[in-house]
Amino acid sequence: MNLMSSFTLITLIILTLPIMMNIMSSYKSTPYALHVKSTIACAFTTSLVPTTMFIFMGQETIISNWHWTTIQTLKLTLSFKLDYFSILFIPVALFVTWSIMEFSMWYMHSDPNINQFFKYLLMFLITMLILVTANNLFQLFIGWEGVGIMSFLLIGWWYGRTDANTAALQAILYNRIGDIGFVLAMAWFLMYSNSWDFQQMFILNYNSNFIPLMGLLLAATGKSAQFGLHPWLPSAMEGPTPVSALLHSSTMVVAGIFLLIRFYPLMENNTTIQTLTLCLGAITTLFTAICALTQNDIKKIVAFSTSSQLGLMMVTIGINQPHLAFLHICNHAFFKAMLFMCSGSIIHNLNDEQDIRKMGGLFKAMPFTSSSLIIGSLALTGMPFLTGFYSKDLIIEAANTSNTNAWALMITLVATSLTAVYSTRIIFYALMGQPRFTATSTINENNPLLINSIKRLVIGSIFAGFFLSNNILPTTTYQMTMPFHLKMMALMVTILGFTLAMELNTMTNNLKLKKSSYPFKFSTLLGFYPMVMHRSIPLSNLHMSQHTASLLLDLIWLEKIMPKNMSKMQMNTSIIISNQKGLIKFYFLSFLTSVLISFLFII
Amino acid sequence: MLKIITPTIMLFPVIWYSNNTKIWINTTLYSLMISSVMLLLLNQTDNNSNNYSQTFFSDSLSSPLLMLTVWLLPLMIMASQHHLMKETWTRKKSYLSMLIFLQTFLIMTFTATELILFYILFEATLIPTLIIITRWGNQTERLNAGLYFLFYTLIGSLPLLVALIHTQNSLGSLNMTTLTLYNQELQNSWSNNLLWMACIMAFMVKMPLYGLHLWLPKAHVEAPIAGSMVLAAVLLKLGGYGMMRITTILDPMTKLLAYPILMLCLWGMIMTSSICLRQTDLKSLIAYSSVSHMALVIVAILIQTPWSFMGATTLMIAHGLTSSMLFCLANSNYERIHSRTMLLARGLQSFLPLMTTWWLLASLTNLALPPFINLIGELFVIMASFSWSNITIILTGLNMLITALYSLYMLTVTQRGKSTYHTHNLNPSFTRENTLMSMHILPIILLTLNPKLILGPS
Repeated sequence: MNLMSSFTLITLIILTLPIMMNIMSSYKSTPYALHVKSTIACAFTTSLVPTTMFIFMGQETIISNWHWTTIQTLKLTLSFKLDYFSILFIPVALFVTWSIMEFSMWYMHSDPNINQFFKYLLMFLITMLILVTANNLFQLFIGWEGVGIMSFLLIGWWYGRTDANTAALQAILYNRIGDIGFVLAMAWFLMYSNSWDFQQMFILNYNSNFIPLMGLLLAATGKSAQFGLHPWLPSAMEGPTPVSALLHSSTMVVAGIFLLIRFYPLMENNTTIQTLTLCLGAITTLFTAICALTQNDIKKIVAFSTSSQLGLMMVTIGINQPHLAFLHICNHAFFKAMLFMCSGSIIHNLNDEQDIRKMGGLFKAMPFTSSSLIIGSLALTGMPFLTGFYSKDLIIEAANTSNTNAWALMITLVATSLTAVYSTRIIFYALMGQPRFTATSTINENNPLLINSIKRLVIGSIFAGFFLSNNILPTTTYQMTMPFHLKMMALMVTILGFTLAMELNTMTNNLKLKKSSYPFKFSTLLGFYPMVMHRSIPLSNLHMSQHTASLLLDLIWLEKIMPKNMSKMQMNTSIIISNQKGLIKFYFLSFLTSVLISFLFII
Repeated sequence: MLKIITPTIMLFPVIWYSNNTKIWINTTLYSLMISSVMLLLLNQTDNNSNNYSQTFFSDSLSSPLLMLTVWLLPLMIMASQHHLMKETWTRKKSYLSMLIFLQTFLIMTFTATELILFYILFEATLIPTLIIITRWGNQTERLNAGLYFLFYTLIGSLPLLVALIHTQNSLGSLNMTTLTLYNQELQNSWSNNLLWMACIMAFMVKMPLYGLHLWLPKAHVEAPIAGSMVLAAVLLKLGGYGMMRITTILDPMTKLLAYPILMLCLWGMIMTSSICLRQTDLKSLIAYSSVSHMALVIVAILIQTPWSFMGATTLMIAHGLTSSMLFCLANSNYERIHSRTMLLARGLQSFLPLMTTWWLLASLTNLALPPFINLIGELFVIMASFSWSNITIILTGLNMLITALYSLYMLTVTQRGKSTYHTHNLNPSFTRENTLMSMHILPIILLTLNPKLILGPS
């Protein structure tokens, strides 16, 4: 008997149940949030069965059931691909979501629309699972757009705030730019392989073409906030913290990377695209790490660090290690979600204070959150034998020993060291030293909803990496031998980052800030990117649409040339041709004179 | 066919003999019953056409459009109830009669076998539409809009009459099914070029092609709600339908002559969607978005591949339902705020949460969210144009981006944000309105489950 397909389907079906629950009468009587949370826990447990089977036997399968439509020679069915990637990602996503749901029961408890919030989160989760399990490009696109729209709705959750609305629109805008690439890839594959099924596309395109892969790279750039299309991710922090924890750290933003991982059979044959991926990833990871250095908003720092880690994953794909990138996605989900939840806990307890300069000394006040935050930061920086170590260290080693592009690898190393720097900065400012927040805030982290959810992810951040890498087969060959200094490189740069940041922070903590230097401005203003791009391009576009398209072409030229010109022409000709000039007095006068003259004659 | 046309004509006595208070419910129910009979037409088992008589037939291209037309009548009646509340009963009845006139003509247009009959009915639909726009519009500009509407369409379509008479003279028949069997290829000459232009131009104006679209924003904005709905949903599709029918007799010419029009469409698509980004007037925004969607349909029809025809048909149906729903939503805002300016209706989510759901769904279908039929249509058109020329993806992709932007901009401006003081005493949304919206969105969802029904000739 094959438990794999049935249990995966059960997992998916269980998740859809709470969506339909408002038809039932129990919707009002039982707390909906609790129901959603336990549903996800249940789905998580169910999803462990196929994963265990996979780990045990290495079994992969494809479920293809409902035949949707056949268009000419293209057959579209509802099909799920349960392979290495999807089967490992489903439990991770469900586990993280489970904790986040529990966390948001605490975080959002005073929101009047909490039920709707949970429903949105659940719908997001479903679209994410559709994306992960899709076996054809169309189904993947459903998930792809679905997560985009759900992120629009969730970022704009507090719809009264202008910032939230702008951030939501911005997210959609950048994602849509990526979608152009996705549609391009879809069109190309349809044209040249006459199918959107992964198997057929991979078989037929051995010498993979540049165009569709470029499209996919663009799509991944948009969704995973790579350099050029990155500004939406930090802006998305306008949404509630659970949303940031779920969408903008662990699941949605990795969808782009996931797409490239899905297409690795094509990517690995095309070195041009790999180099592009590598450079793009390297630029992203360094640039966003630099931006993270000087931010003061705790959520923004974590967001930039997510962006930086996404860049690192992109680098991994660029050096042709997709399985390693995937491992990093899974590991990253645990500690990054937890970092967001810790910052959410801090923010909530300090009465919505997000500025790290106004925190301090939280180690005494919130011991549990602080220790989790430290564990998360250490895992993020790749502290040996925490979760992040198992993938990050391997990535850096693989990068160090590959001969692809020394510049990109160098940049990645610098970014790795900067990871330690901004992590130190959060710890230093938020947790150490004297309290700088207002004395009136009532700090209480002893809510089981908060503690349990974070605790679960702490365990994940410590052991998940070990568990995952211990149990799954390495599918690409890792570099086994290397010089000692290369082996220690990742660790050394991280330690260097830590010490430097610690030294600098303690040294400069009480110094008066001088007139800010250009590098400092570059970093705080996010490399001037939003200032330039968010002003000049929309301005010129909107000007174009108002002045050229609307006023000049539509309202002046087109209207002048056709209708108005026509009527004017008719009017002029009729005026010229007609005898009648409308001179009533003159006509009457001539009438009168002629009558008079005739009278005279008669007389 | 009589079993559909006769009941539709019998709607007149239903209106005029009904109890004054019962006219809305009677006509709505009766027209819904007619549309349920029409569902049988969708059962097209093969690619042949169903010939009902010498005059009327339907095939996989016309029956979805026919279904859309018939489905829309009860919706139009439901939508205009509030608009006509203060009119006298006679006027209400004559308004409804106009809608039914239009309906009868439309049904016959979509089923006509002869091109000349098609032409006559195509022109006949102008009369009730003109009366609806100029008599029941809200502002004085409606007269100007009516003029534009009438003269653009007339000037566009008169050459078609000449061309049809010429074709009748040379081929001896104007039967659509017979014409496909003629294998006479047009030679490349000046007179044939003119023939092509004459045949195509009527439909280009109706669609409308960018550059000939000026009547559309005016007519849509000034028309009463039912007028906007039927214009956006059905009358524009007459153009697409006619073009798909007439290209069969223009066989090799289209390949050559389509280039400038294709370019104009692709360019106009971007232009009109960027105009949408700067609109302050809600109805005008929706009207311009129709122009940009219809440009995609024109592109698809002119490329003339099976994929593009399927895309065009699907997009026409999907756009018909979506734009009509958007107009209904705009109208429900107008009835509350008494202005079409978007900025005056901010933050409605707090007051009308259910209406926000409809807004959200309508915007999402408008921006072609997968797996809605809008996406299927758009995707097929993009695929077809990509395989025609790879560069078009830049323009079509850009259009996708801008469409998403203005759809969500519309949603954000009207529903999100802080509410203003003058909106504090609004009516809650009526059951009638919610029914209306759900009757727009349900067909979209159902068709998404089986898009084969509206893929057209495949």
